[in-house]
Amino acid sequence: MAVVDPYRSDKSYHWDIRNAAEDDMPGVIECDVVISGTGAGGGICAEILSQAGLRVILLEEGGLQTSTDFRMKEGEAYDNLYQQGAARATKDGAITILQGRTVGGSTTVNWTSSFRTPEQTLKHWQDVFGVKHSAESLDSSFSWVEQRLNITRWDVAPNRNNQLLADGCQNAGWSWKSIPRNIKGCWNLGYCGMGCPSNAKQSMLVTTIPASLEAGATLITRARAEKLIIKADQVDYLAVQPIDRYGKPLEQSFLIKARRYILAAGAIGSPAILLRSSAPDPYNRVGKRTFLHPVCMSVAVMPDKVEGYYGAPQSVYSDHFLWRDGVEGELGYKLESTPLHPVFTSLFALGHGDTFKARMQQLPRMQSTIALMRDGFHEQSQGGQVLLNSDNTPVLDYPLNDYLWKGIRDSLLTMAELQFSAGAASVRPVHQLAKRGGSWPEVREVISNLPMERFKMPLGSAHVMGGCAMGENEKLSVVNSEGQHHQLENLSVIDGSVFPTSIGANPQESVYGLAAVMADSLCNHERLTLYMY
Amino acid sequence: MSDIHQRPDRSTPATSSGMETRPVADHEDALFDDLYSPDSRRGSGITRRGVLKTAIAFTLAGMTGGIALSVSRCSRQEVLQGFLVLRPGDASVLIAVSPAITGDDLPEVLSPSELMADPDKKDVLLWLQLLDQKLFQLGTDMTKEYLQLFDLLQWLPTRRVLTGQWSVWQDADKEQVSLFLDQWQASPVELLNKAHRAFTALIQSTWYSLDNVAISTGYPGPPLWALAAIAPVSDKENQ
Ligand SMILES: Cc1cc2nc3c(=O)[nH]c(=O)nc-3n(C[C@H](O)[C@H](O)[C@H](O)COP(=O)(O)OP(=O)(O)OC[C@H]3O[C@@H](n4cnc5c(N)ncnc54)[C@H](O)[C@@H]3O)c2cc1C
Ligand code: SF4
Repeated sequence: MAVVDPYRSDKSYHWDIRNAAEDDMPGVIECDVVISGTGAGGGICAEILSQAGLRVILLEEGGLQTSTDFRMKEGEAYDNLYQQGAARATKDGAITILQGRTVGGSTTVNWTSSFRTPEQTLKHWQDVFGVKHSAESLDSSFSWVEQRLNITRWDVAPNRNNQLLADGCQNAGWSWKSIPRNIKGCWNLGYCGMGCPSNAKQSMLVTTIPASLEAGATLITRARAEKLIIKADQVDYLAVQPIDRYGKPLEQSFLIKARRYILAAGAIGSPAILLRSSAPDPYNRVGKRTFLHPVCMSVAVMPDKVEGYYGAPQSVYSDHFLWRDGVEGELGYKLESTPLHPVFTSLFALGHGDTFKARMQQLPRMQSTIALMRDGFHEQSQGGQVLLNSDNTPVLDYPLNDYLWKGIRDSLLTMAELQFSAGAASVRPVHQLAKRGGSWPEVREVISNLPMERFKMPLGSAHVMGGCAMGENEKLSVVNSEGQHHQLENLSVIDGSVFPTSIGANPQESVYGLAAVMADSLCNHERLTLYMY
Repeated sequence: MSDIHQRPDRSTPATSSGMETRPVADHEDALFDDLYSPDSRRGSGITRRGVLKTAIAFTLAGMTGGIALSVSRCSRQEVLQGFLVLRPGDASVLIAVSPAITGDDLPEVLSPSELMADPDKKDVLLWLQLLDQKLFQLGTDMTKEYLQLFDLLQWLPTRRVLTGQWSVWQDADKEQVSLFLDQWQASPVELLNKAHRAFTALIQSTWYSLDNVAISTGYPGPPLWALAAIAPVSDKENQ
């Protein structure tokens, strides 16, 4: 069962990997394509473009950490692999945001749930935003991704945390299904969020990035794409800022000169680069309509052990309430569960002192259910806006309103009902003023009276999307359906920031599928221009 | 954390009282004497009205530089040796409040420097270092907000109003701290809800990053077979 770390294997000897914080960097580096960000979008692009023979440079603001470093320790993982030490939050602090900051981006730390973009979502994008893609046109791209990343049905029995989600739905008469995952030889450990120690997870770290390096791409870590230097309707250079492990800028910056510049720094990250560059934005779209799938949670204590810290973290879901009032009606939500490790659990135990501690002591018997709000489909759901801090790092301002609060209250009711139908001894909606209740009517009463206010109702997100919307209508979007920037000729954005709304499903496969289509079209385009030179 | 000094959101009923339009005294003592009712020293002295006025005072002070300057007297402390952002006063606050936040008592700690010297208190030191790194990683603006919160908790007039704590933090008792945390948590003043969330989440999540604390929940840690399977080859050979 020995684990092979591709970055320590024989073939890695000729890979070109540099650390901008430690290595001497030349003042200007030239290449065909520079990709900023190595997550879902950047990884897929890098493989397709480098295998097509283009000279690719991959920039990543995080470090290179691989299976050899992944020790299943929460504190370490959050500090080393996540943006802002996993303590990123919206501007007012009301929503905690999890995003990866390491080679492989969020795919290195995500929970492996893999869904195609829902047809309803694609249809809405076509109708409202003039996006050219449809379920049919993306079909072959999704098939390719599913094969490339081994996305398959997970036939192993779910862990008890997920089984209880299935039981609750079953008993309540609600639909549920098992979640396809991007894994190969999974040990069913449950530590996906801390970096998969067995390399079973088919993240960008172990798939497309090694393939790109093998095809001759260069990876530069601890290198923040700071600013595009723009001349007329072209990007002339990309200025790169080396940063230390805490994300603080170091002295020497350098330039990259490329034929094509691709932003793949993720939602929040890519709009931030455009904002720092004062890129043309005639309709004031950059950073706007950034979505989160805001998540609220309900915690049950079961009569016996659940051990939610072990086993694939997400293997069951329910879409029973996702489209409950049509695509553009009341806020719909997807139901899933989460892994339950001590640090993560400490963030939603709430309270302080003995109350908090007593809740932590229940960890082995805890069941967690979450509801992910499908934001961005209703006029009352415009998402947030990316802004720049005083040090030029980005922050998301995401206002909360009654439309959202209504969806959240409804979902708390759904989740409590579900957990009691699964046999919960008690249920506690994750809200500062909620105590646990021992029966469904009791908890229903509690939820109906909870004040829906920020901070009292802590929210979270691991799915940041949008901010550089795609579409054919320049007034509503930043890039076209191919990811090509509307105003700058040699610039593309290819990552989760191009979604015009949230996805309504865990987004990684949507990013992969779209990135593959966009990279293919770019590849044809770039190869042509290459021949013309 | 960003609007800790700002007026609470308009949507909260507390702000519609019209008090934000009341002129705020320039003289610090007058301001705070008015906020404080002497028969409620044990925490219940935090009145909604008092806190609101403090918030308003700080918003205004931020503009004029008045109170902010006074508070920043505390922030001129040097960073603790071996730390990135925490100053001795911050460490004292954290050590004083943490039992009431985590529910776990700390070994008797008199001062941060003593902490560095005593190996028995290794866990406390490690926890403070983790917390320090977390604060540093938040990024300039968010780090600053936390430090401002620490400042408010150290400067006597604001400490008095926000926590009801009269004596220095070293003398704080757990009950007293719990009392003000209860009030922060349930308060109609959003600003305090926010401070409660920011403060507790920071302390609790870093505390549970310690292995000893993590397993106290009944979580056994990663499966041993998996740890053995991923152990570096050289380690296995050494065994
Ligand atoms: C804990 C967690 C669990 C998740 N679970 C799932 C799941 O189970 N299923 C699912 O579908 N989705 C999941 N997601 C979400 C999914 O992983 C993301 O939606 C997806 O990876 C987004 O792809 P992206 O390319 O847009 O950005 P990312 O994958 O986040 O990659 C962006 C990269 O750009 C880097 N970067 C940012 N700014 C710069 C800059 N200026 N210069 C250089 N580099 C920069 C970042 O460090 C990062 O590495 C999860 C996410 C998290 C955090
Ligand atoms: S559950 Fe599977 S994919 Fe996740 S960390 Fe464990 S082995 Fe890796």
